[in-house]
Amino acid sequence: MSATNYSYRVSSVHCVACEQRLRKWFADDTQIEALTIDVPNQRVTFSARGAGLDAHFRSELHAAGYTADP
Amino acid sequence: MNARRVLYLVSFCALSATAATAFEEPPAAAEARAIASRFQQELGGKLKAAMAEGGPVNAVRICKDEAPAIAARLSRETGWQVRRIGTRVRNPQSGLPDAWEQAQLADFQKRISAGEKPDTLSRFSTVDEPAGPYQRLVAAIPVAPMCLACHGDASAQPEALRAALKADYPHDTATGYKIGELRGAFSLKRAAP
Repeated sequence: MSATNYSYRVSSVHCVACEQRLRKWFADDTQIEALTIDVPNQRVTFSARGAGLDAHFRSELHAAGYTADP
Repeated sequence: MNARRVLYLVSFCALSATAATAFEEPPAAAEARAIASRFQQELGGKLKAAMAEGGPVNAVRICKDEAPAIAARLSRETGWQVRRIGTRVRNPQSGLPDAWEQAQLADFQKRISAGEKPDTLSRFSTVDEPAGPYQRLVAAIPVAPMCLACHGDASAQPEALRAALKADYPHDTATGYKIGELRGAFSLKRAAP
């Protein structure tokens, strides 16, 4: 089964500290194969094995203090 | 100031400049090296604990399950792609070096043959790849005494260990190592900024 990309624009991600904070937050989430944080474009992409993880990632982003744009 | 003192000062300055150039490395290299070191320490700690608790059979699961889990966690946490590569591998689906990594392992082998200590070997470089430039680091993993239980002479392994290894790694080629040989490397890469 190939990985699915869940990509979000998170406009409150604006610096390296935000990236580090998110990376620490998601470090133990074993559903994530790769986490790409594009700070200049304020885009967070989770590459994960499993369908239906959109709600999970939105909820975790919120819990980490960030909100995915609609 | 006499001529000898002047000569000494000039030599000293030249040597200092050379040393500064030789040891000056980009911050990304130090960052990658620190991550490789964390990987080594975490994995080593878990291996030692598992060996003490239940011997080599118990430790097999550490290299099989815990090592990839540590690598994945470090990858998520740091943004570097972290993994281990081997000169010979237990599982051909993971741990096989790519072309750049193969070249670095071959270079490490040469340097070890020339007398360098294997645990000091590493290489940082920015490499042009089809997807763009990548910052890459490899740091050598030498065979330590603890590794020999599973990676030493296969004919000397206890039957239970041989059965466990065969069950988990039907295509295992990573035996026959001796202490101090090059087992592989920690390998890290990320897109160059």
